[in-house]
Amino acid sequence: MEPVAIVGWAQTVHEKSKPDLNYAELVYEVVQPLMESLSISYSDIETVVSASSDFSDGRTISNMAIQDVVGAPLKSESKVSMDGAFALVYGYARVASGAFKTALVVAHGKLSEGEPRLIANAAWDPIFLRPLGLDDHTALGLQARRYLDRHNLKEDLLSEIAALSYAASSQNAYAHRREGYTREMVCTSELLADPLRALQVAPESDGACAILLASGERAAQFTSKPIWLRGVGSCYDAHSPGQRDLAESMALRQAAREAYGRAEMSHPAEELAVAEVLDLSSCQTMLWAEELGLCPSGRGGEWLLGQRSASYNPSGGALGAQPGFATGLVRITEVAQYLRNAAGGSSAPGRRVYGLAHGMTGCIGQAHCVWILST
Amino acid sequence: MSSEQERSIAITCPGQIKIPYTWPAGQAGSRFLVALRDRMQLLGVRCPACQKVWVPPIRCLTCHQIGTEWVQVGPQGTLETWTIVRTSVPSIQVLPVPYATGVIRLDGADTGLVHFLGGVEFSKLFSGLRVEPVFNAQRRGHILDICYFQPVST
Repeated sequence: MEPVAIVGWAQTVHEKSKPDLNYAELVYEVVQPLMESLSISYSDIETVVSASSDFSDGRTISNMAIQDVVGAPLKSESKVSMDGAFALVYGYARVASGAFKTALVVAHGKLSEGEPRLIANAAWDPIFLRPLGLDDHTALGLQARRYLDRHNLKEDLLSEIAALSYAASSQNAYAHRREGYTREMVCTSELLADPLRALQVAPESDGACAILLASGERAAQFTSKPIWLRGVGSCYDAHSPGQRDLAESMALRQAAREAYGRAEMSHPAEELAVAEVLDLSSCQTMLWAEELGLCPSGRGGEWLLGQRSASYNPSGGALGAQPGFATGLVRITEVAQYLRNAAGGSSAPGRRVYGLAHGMTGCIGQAHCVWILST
Repeated sequence: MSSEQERSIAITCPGQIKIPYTWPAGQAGSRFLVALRDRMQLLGVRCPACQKVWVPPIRCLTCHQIGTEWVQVGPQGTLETWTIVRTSVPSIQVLPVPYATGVIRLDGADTGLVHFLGGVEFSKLFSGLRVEPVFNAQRRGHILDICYFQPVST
């Protein structure tokens, strides 16, 4: 297989609402600066993979509306109706196969246009779950309660961990929540679904993200500092909150194991310089770290509050911004940026620096995708 | 024109998609719902490979085998986790907020059933609570033929 590099990326500022832009224009807000930063035109993009949700956009085959801004007419373009991290799998495969030398991967989410609670309810099985009014907040509440009970942890930990994310997102110019909410503000925010409070779950944001992939032989044409895709793993879990133990995620463990194996990492907890996860609640901020093998089970909070070798969600994660299916792709660009900064001014001499980026579809983690990137 | 002025003239078009659907419960789902409606019984299906009993019935997600042995489970069970729904979204909710939703592991089942919790003060809810279903007098072969699960009377 051809080695594949991320050679450029762009994301929008993520906001509660962008009523002045339709979603094609929102996508252009990342495609245009991406092309400009690389001094390329549409003719340099050989194929496109996008990620978006028909339900969120209120249109079937929602990618049809973005064909012009991604330069897709008379090219191959496919949509993944999942998180953007999964779209990157398809873009990667197209380049790794040798069939294409470049691929644009783009994702958008404009959650302000619809009613996220209703769309979340519609994501569940219509016979056994939807009639119960289940939505993402309810399911996240069930997960958080199970996690706390399983490990005998106090509810306040959810506020403490959320405040860590807000300290990070307050420094992130792209984040939706930049107010730097403190633990006190989090633990007095509105109760949504016990034990979860409003500031312990991700906001609903409008935003987009784009990445350009290039084959190994073409990467140098675009940048002297490519970020290499070293390994990926993805795995599905059961659909219903009743069909698995919500205090763990075998699917994330499996996805991580695959990704580490393909990247030939034997001690990921020591080898990773950075990890960015898609955490829809501060419970998930902890739980995903555990299932990625960065700390022992039930100790995610302790690990986050203590001394860590790896930087974890330096962007603030999804609590900082959640632009729908763009959220996982944003995690990948954040890791790419972190690694590029770590590599310094010149192309990294000697030691590779590794990072992990996680995307997910389904609010309590029904499908996980784990990427390993390196300088 | 400044971007602030441009934003103030942004036009948006409200709309709503209203499409009726008819979703079959499927062969296994129908058998589960008929037992609920006609006999107030809860059924699961046992995986022939790992012996796990799935409720509601589904192909075993671990072994990918179709279970052929139907077993009656419950009606009592144990509360595995729960939450209290606080925000009102009337178009998807059948109960007024606040109300409790939980995952119930029915006796004899290896998976949990998601359903409402009732007949109990929220402060008395805990994981491990023993519960039993309260059925609707009028049943139609629907998951809401169970009103809710309440603490087992001692």
